[in-house]
Amino acid sequence: MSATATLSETTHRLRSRVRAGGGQAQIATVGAQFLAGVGNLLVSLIAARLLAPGAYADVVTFLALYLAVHVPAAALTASGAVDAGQADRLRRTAVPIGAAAAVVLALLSPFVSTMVGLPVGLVVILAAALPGAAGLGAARGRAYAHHDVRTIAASLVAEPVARAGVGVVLMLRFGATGAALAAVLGGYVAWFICSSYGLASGLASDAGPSTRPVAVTDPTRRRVARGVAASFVGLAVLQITDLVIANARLTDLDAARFGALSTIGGAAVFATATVPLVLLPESARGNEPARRLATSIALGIGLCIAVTGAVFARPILSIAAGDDLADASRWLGVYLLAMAAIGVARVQVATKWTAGDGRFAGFALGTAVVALPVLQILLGDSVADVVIVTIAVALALSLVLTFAPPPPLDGTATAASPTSLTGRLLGTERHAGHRTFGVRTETLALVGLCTVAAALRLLTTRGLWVDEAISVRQAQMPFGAMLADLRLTDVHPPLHHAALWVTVRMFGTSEFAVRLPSLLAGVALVPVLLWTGRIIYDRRTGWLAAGLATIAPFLVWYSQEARMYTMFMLFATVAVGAQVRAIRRGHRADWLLYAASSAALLWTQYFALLPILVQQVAFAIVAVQRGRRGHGRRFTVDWIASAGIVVALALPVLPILHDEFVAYTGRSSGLVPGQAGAATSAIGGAISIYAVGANLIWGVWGYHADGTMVQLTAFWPLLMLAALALLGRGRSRPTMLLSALVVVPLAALFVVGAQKRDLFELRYFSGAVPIAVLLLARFATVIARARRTLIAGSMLLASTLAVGLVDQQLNGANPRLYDFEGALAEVDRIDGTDDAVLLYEPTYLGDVIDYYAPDLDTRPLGAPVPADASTVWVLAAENVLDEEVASGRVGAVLAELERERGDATVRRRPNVRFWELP
Amino acid sequence: MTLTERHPAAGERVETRSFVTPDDTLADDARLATPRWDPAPPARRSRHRARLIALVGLITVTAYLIWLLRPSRVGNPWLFGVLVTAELFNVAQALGFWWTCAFAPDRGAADPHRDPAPDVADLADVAVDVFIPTYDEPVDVVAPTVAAAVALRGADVRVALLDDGDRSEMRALAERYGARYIRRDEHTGAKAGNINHALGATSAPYVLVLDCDHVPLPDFLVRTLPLFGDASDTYDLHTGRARHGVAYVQTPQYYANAESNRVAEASWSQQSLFFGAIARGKDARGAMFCCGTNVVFRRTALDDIGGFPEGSVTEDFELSIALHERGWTSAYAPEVLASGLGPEDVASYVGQQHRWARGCVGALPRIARAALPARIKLQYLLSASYFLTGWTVLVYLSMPVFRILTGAQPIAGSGADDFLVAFAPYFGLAVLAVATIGGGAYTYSAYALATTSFWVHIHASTKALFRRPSRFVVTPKTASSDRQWRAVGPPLVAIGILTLAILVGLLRDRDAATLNNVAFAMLHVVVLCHGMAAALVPGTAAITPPHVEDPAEPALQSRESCGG
Repeated sequence: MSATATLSETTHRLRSRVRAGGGQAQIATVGAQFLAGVGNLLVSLIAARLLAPGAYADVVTFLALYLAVHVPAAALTASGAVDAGQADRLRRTAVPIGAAAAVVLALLSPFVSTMVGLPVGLVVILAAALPGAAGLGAARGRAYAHHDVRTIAASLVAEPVARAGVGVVLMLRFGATGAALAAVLGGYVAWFICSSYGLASGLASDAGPSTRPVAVTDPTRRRVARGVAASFVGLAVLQITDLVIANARLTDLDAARFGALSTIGGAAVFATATVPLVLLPESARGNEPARRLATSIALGIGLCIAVTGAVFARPILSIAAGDDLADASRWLGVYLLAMAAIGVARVQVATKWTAGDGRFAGFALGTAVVALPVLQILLGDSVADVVIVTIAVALALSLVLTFAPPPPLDGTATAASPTSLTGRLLGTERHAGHRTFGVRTETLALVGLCTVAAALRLLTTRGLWVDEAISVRQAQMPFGAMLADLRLTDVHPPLHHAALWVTVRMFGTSEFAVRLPSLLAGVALVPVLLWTGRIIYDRRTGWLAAGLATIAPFLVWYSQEARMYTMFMLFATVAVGAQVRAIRRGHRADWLLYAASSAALLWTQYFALLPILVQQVAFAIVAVQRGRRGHGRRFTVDWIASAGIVVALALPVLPILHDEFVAYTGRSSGLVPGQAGAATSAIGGAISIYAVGANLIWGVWGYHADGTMVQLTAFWPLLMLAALALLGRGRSRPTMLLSALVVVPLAALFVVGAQKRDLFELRYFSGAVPIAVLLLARFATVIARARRTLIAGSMLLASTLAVGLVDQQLNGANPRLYDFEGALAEVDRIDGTDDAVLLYEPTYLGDVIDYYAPDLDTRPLGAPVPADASTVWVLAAENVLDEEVASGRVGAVLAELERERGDATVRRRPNVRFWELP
Repeated sequence: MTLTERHPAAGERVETRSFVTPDDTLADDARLATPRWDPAPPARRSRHRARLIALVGLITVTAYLIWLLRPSRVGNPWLFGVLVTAELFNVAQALGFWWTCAFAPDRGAADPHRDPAPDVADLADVAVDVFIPTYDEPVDVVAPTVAAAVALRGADVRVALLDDGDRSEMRALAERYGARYIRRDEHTGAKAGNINHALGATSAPYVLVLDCDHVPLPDFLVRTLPLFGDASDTYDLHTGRARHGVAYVQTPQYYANAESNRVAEASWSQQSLFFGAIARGKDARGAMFCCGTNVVFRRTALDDIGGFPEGSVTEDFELSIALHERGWTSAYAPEVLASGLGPEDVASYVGQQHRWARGCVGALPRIARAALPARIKLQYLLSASYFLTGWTVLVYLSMPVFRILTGAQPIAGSGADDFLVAFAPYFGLAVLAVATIGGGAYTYSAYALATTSFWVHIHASTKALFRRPSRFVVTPKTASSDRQWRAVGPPLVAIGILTLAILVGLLRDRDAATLNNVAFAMLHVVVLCHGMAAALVPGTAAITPPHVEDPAEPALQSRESCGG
């Protein structure tokens, strides 16, 4: 009985919300749009059946251009939807302008025909469509502004009906020309209906200009209308940019694959195209439920399409583009998700403009419109890369637009709403009503920092090195086999491998794709450090930490590596922020966040146990202190519960740890990279205190050539200055916790490193690095009392980091830079024949060599060389050549080959040496 | 006008602390604000922590010395000898500091901070002469002091303004507040002579000496007089010396202008370390010396040694030695009972330091000869020899210069990493000890200012060595707005030489050893620049209120709420 009542009540509430948000209009127009889409699809299928292949190709090109000229028309619609008066004015001016453009296009048709590869007749027909497109755009805008749902729906449905009805006859009679005529005719029919039907039947007057208050005043409404129009053009540009770039950069086959994706993606965007148009007049009246409903509808439809596309990717592509292009199916779901994000962004743009926040929307959209082609040009080397960049930009845009704090009221910046995610991140949600200058500026600044962080991590890159290649090989195995391989051959827990496993299946194995998890974690570190800095200290510290994280060389380096270290850093930072929150306010969410991030840490890196132990000790101290004061019971219970969750979540990793440890103790080390500080040891290869200094420099200023590291370490007396500068600054418990999180893992691994040198390595306590960045930021904000001093000091600090970053990334003398990619590219460039052989030393270079030279005959050093090999290449890692045994092996093989083939030509790439024996 | 502060813990120390001022025209005077410093002994846990740090520090210093004093370490023998001397001196100072502060015995019931405030009525009949010596200070500096002195409670107060400047406005000032105006015909013996003259003209059994810029709280006498206890002679069973009871009760010299002026702030930071941990430690060992102001004397004690010694520029230090020699004891009241003004520009600071250094270093032979218990003598030696620290700073400044310009270095037979391992723990513990024992009072600015004044110690001790006369210079109470080149001339020269060494080092050789010395030189340059900035950049002395974020910000609220 009560369940029924509850259900009834819920249904009633839902209906009320839908009604309040203009849900019926949305549903009606979306339905009509759906029918229109189905109709247009049918017309396309009929055309494909009826027309010869060449004629059909002409029709496809014609329709693409027809859609292109409708982009400004759609902008007119959006503009008119905001301002009915504007719609009337537009109608009066747009049609003559369209007619003039038509005349010009018709006159230029011979030239245009050559340019676009269409018959002149079709170009003339396209010109004829221009007045209709302008008229239809303006008329639909007026209909939307008047809330004339029936007219809109009728015009949407009439368009494909007319095309199908007349089009079949015309196609049969005139071929492609007939199909083009039908398409244009459909537009004119829709225009006619829009212009006459609603007004003649009096429907428009029923729903005429509302008497409800309008959020924007008349003088500003025109500005809003223009802004909305411009933004919709921007969104259209955003939507087609990837296709343009893909056509220019990818191979023909890949371009065709992406074209298929883009076509289906366009249909997905088409499905939600009416949602913002229905919303615009409602939103202009300040109808908040309508905004929420529109977002929900756009998101819901987009997600449904994306899921459907992901599940039925191959059949959809087979039907739409043929079996040849069906290989693109693995990316369809992701691409449709990107299109869904654009659909949501369109709704948010409409919302922002009508809520008086159009400048922000314009700025965000403009940034996306600029960023997308730049990133595509830089990174779009494959279909997967183009898809990744598209979804990254689309998601970023929709998230920024959705979660940006609301616009300021009465000209002053105000607090974010309590539900604003950005407000929460920026720590402003609790003081609604207080003036919080710059909240919106801060939002933009955060977006800017993330953009810079992403750009820095993408701009300069390097080839995969051995460990990454091994991870990529493992990630290409079936999941169970991968785990089994990890147990036998690896030393890390499987969380990053699992993420990589998913990534490889979604995006393939390009460098960009396999490093995507690290990139995302690395960029996420920026806002997370802001959050943590704000929680633990204050806003200035948070911002400075986030700013430093953007350019911190260590963070940039591992954001570019397909390994687990960036995830380690991210979880470690979240864990400490959550811990401080749990101690201070003790909400259940804080404890859960702490437990989850700590468990994730253990699933990412076994050495994460060290910071977790430090944090547990901190909890214990707090528990004892509160217990002494008599109010520690609840805290202790929560702490034990969270620790229990961590243990429970971490337990399944124990068998993997056991197997890996057993396997580890029974084998030799793999390729050990250049060790920070190794060159400065006074006791041969043993660990020295300078190694600590070198690792600290690595953590803050990045990794450099051995000589540079020695020189930088020699500046340790300046640390005395830092110690003196802290005199009289007091101390805080959070600072002591953070210091312990840096010092304890460092000290513990220093002790371990005394036994096994290569374990004293910043990678293994990389979780301490963002903490150190936070402490550095705190140091700066504490030392600098005046704002001017702080800015100057911060700039100086950031400059030193930037210099370190540039040297780390670009200096080939960096011992951590292994240019296998460059070496193998050089091999390929010099000798691209199929019968060359490449011998490599040591054997575990196999994975990275297979990655970059899958078609080359590669063998471990010592394997027999075919007698008919045109060229023999010998490749070895530089630091292996420092070892006597390996160096002897390489020398012996080279000597033998030189006896057979003559002198070898030695070549070098950073940390890689290879010999050519023709 | 009355400014009132009620201490928070009602059960601990409930009192009303109010400055009494002559009129509202002086309301802006920083000395009338409530003092924001409490030199009371820290909690037991803090003392234990300090002891632990000192013990670990002892281990690190031993390890460092063992490492340093190996014969194989000798590089250039001259430089090595100089460096070792400097290091041993500083180690001795560090050990003395730890011994004084971290291992001071608990005064227990004698701790005045633990004593309940005495009944004011019990002291009402005790007569106290309040001496306010003045020479050339402005009226608006002296007026609040006189007004507050007149308003002192708990005793029969007789305020006397001792004017050595023969100024009519001082006479008017005294008359305005009902104070006695005392001047003398012959101005000999500087401040000591002025006070001795006043002693002859007055008769109260107790004498409170206030520098003319130190405004006392009304309860000054109520808090200090009970510490004199019984005046009858006693006999020390351990030393066999006659004991005459407490000769003087010293209280802190609080700089009220520390929050508005950087030089005063840094100077106060040094003072607060002294009047906090060090003074408590000295007091616990019966070795607190008189600091010239904010101090109450027993007249019989002064009479016992013939009044203030007039031959020294640090008459208070010499006076203390003399009193302790005669078997008198001293006491220290660790609570702010008067607010004064610290030096507001570098020249004033340098002048003050020079006077103290000249007096204290000049007193070293006197201390060596003094018939004092070992612990008290050691305390005097530690305090007086502190003013030789400037020589060690000169040594440290010189070492990287020698290494870079000549290639000579004091230490051989070890790599830079070896040195780092041996030195870093000692240095780190020393800094930690200062921070912990000082309760965070000692700041980097104080360190930089002290380092920049290294030449003052050298100059003063050289004058003391050659027995060159030095005159008593009153520390100016207001800041100069001019650039003070003379006050920072030597550090400027040092910076120039160090900068030259840095450039030569960077241009000549970039091996780790050279860069290590370049880094040391840079460290010195930064510290010296910081210390002398206020002298050369007008306006930097004034402190603008720090940027404070919106107090409603949750991050700040939560930090405060958890004691972070």
